[in-house]
Amino acid sequence: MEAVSAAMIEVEDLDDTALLAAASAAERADRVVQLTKLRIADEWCVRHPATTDAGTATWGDTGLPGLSDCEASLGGDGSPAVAAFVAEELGAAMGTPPGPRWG
Amino acid sequence: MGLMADALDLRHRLPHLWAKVKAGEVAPYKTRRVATDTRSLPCEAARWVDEELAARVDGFGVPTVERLVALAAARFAPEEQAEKERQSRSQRYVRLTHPRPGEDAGTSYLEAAGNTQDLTAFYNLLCEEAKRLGRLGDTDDYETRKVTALGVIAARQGPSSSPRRPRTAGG
Repeated sequence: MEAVSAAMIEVEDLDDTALLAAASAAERADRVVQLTKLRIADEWCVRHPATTDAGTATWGDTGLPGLSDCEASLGGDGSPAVAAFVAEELGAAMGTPPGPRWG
Repeated sequence: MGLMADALDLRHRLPHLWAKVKAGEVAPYKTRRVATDTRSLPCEAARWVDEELAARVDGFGVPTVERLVALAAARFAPEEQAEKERQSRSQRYVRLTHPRPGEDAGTSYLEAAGNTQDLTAFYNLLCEEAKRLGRLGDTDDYETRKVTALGVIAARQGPSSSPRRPRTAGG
């Protein structure tokens, strides 16, 4: 991450070779970050399975009772259900709004 | 949220891609694209896409993902696909357009809209024929050879009412 931030500040000072090297480094760093996010979300799902007490997270969850009109769980056919509202918790920690259009 | 749904589906529906992305062999955004695009498909369809993509040693692009997802939908979710087909059948056609005056007199346009499996089968046949022509020494680029392949396949189907023109370089 240090290399990326440095490159963002000093791109004007880099020659073409260094700029391409910075692009390559940024892409590698981005992949690491994206994979880390996936692994965190995976672990969060593993830790918070749906239970009868906790309810089930769905795309329609609004946080308001009675407004959950979409009963499909987060993942597709064959993926286990996840406890209700844990997606909102993770989204809040990451600063992304909940819902299918974000995250 | 999309991230959690993608992670869930990668672990449970796309296990080969999940292993590859964790090993750094596939870009995470591509695997998330596969997870999102296969979301509405049955589990066995997602598994099939997973195996097909993971078997591609040289990696894959978004067009490949889109094509495999369409094929998986046709194979594994036939009822849903049949309903979509009923809705879209009115939009099916094969259209041949000849050049208008002033355009290149030797160039026509062939466009088809229809069943994914049929069109993919024909398109794959074209690509195979184009590759074969390349191996036989046709030096045209791949796209041009695919067009040439149309004529080769037409000729192979037997006597045609359409007059055959002699092949010329670049034509």
